[in-house]
Amino acid sequence: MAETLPSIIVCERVARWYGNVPALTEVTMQVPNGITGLLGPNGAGKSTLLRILTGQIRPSSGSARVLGKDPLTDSTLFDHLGFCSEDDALFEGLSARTVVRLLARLSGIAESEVKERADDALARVGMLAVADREASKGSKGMRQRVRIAAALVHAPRLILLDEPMTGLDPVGRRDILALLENLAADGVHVLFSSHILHEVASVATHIVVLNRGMVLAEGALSAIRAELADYAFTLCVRCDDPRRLASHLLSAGYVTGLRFEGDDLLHISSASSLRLIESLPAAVLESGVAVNEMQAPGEAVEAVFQRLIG
Amino acid sequence: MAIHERVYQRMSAPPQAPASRPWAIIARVVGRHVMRSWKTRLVMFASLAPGLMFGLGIYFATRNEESLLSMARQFALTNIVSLEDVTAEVWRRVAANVLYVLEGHVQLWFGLILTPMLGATLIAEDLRTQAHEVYMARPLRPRDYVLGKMAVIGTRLLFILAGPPLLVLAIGNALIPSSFLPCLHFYPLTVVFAGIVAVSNAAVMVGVSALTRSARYATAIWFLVYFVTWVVSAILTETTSNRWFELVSWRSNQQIILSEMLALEPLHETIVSMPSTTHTVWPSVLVLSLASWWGWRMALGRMKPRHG
Repeated sequence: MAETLPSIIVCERVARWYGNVPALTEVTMQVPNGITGLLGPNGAGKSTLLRILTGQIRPSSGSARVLGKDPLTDSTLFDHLGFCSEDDALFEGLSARTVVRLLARLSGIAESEVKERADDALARVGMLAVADREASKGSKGMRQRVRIAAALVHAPRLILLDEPMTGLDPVGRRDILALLENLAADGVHVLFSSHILHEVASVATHIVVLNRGMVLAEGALSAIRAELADYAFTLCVRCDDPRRLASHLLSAGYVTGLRFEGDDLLHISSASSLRLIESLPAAVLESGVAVNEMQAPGEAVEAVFQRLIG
Repeated sequence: MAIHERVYQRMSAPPQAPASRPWAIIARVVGRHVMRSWKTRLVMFASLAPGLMFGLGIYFATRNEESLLSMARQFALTNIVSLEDVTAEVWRRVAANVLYVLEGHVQLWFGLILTPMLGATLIAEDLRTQAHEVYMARPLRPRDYVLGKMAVIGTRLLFILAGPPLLVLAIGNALIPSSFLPCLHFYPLTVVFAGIVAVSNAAVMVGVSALTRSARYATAIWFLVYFVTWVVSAILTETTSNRWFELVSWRSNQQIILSEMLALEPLHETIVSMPSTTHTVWPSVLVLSLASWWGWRMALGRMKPRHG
């Protein structure tokens, strides 16, 4: 069972400017236990936020606490923190095993345990068999795994990963996601950033949506969606007579578009999700069509995300 | 043991002690890596050759009494008829001049070449690939990181700068009777001078490496600064006859320090240029210290959390 902490990461009005360009604007958030996805398009400020959380850069204002410690002043935090940066940060010329052992030693692991711990971490990411190859010359997926192994080798309580799935093939992505789930199951808290929305949604229990340096939404995906009670969205209705159903919807002012696909599919675009959902049953009854299937592709996480970032 | 068990074990255990001497861990692993380059190994190997040649020269000189007397006469500034006339002071001067030529000229060239070969990539590559963030996300102070990188350069420079002169000194002392005691203090002085060069070269190199973030530029700047200051110093010194312009040159400053440490005196026939004795060693120490301080601060500044 994972240790219960109120919040593993707390940011209070964290802002970071690069000259006149704001990278983060008054970010206030609380990250709970488990897996948290930091979601946002490129340039949203995800990497900047993770660098602040790992003490790599100072916020221009505000404060951040990780596991109750200030990453800028309390180096004991790094006993419990694993970090995997976005960049292809690996030491040139060193084998995967050497890299992981080096970082294990730097984390203060006793020399007698270093080999075992490094091999454990490499095995965990499926790299033990090729651990003697030069890490920086492996495939993107291999390099990513080595960096994750290096972040895990000292058994941290929290692991921060910046775009861990970037450049990986689907199998590699699936493996990394499975690894994150396994870590969480083992009691390790995970915060990872991504702009691949369905990946975040598939493993994260908590999501922070970041755009243009601002937190747009924070919470479980369902909670975020619930906050967006009324929004423009599209519904796909598969029925026996889509044209008849369309004629009953045409008069509704909130319907902004109707599109037919084949003989049985109708795409209804509405300016108001609530009004469409409320009035559609009545329209179906009035038209007398037999509805076989309804889909709201706009309910996917991509749509929520797009609505959030405008 | 599963990872979560380790997590709980660590949470309930007293705080884990940080790695002892993390700079030494970095120096050992990174140092092993840089020595994989055959070019670096070749230069390191070649740097031992002058010591062997000097040693052979001393060996052959001692095989022939006339050669030994000739060497003593050259350094003694007095007429020497037999080996009984050679005083301890003469052997001291002989050793000082041999050490100056070997350590202050020949080995310095190897140091010049080897410094960027060992150090140009050390911080530049980490900054380029952001690998320094991996280090800094460990319980590691920035100064441990910079010190570790400096130690990679410094330990090897120490070896090539001090090793051959110590070898030559030992050969000379072993083959020339009554030369050991007058030259005893040269053993630590040789190591101290090698240490000064190793530290100053290493500090400036890591600074340049951190400044440029490119191994190629770092190498170019290193040689450019070295030769430009050397040439400018030589021109200004010759044209103005003002020996203070020697302070402009990185190389001259190191040579001035060595000559002062060895209490060097000019020979009848100089085979290498001798530094000025018109000013003290302290301005040169100051120049090297300031440059080293700049390199240290530059490298350290790149590692510390940046302000917004």
